[in-house]
Amino acid sequence: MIGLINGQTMLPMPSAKLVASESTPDKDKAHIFESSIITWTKQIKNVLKLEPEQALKQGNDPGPLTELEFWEKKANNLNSIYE
Amino acid sequence: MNSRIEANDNFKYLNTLRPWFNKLVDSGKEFNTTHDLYLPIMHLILLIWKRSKFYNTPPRLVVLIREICNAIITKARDFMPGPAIFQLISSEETYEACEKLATTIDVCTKFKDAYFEYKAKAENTWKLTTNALFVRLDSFLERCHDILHLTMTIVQFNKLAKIELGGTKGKSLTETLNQIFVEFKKTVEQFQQLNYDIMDIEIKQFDDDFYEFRSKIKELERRLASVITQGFDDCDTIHGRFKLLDSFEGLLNRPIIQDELEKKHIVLLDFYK
Repeated sequence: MIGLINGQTMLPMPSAKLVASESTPDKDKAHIFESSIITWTKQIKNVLKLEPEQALKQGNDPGPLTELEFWEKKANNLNSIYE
Repeated sequence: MNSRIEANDNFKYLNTLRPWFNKLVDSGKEFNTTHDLYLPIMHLILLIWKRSKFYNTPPRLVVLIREICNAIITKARDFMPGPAIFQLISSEETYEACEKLATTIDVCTKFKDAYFEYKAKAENTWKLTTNALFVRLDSFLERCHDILHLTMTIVQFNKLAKIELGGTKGKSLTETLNQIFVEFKKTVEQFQQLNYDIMDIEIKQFDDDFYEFRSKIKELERRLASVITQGFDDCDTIHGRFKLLDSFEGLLNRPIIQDELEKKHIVLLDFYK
């Protein structure tokens, strides 16, 4: 997954240099923002898609603390995106 | 963002279970006290089900219960590992293996009991298919029952080592008994050669190997039943007949032998007419 730091989703900002530069045509700037938003959407969708059943399906017989960790991670992940 | 609120809320409620789950997976906690944790855990789960806004759907409960079952199975396998069963058999402490397997079955079954107790308290809101919940625990329990059957068989057959029959046919019957015992020991030794952990329910080969063991034992049981009935007919006093039956004690409960002896019980009763 892109933009994952320490298991936390980071939404990458578009290059400030390019976006702020006078020499970048507006059309290109719009394109940069667009692709950023597409990336962010994908990242957020990936986090929302996470389901606790996946741990069981992987077949390594997880115990109940896995369920706690799952919701803790998912909560932290979504909190950091929200901020 | 609903998902974010849901994840935070679920974590907040599940966190109340953390101390109990920590105790459940703690290797320092005695296995035969594990069931003390079941009721507090189920109680909290029911409270969460009733109070939380999101953690109150069958899919959530299924995951949680299945994961608790996994933790119990892991503990049970630490308590009674497959290789240790073979070691106990080899050092003629099979009875200890029987006791530990019975404890394992008891501790695992009690979790299902606790679940059903709280399912009843949840008043028809836990609409879950029980099969999906306990699929792994049930196959573990089945395996424990199979292995308990194996160890009980060994304890019962070991009696043959000490039995000597009297009467006119006594000598030849005792010889046949010895032969049966030798073949029995060979069958057990062969079973002990299995090069996998017999408590590992992922290994399905066990079912075939155990079936083969049981088939051999059944054949030995038929031969044993025939020795007992011959010895019975050979005795002419009621005292001798009871003594004979007494010496085979535990073995008489095995279905094949029991069937064969049923006819002889009538003969015994006839004495009292």
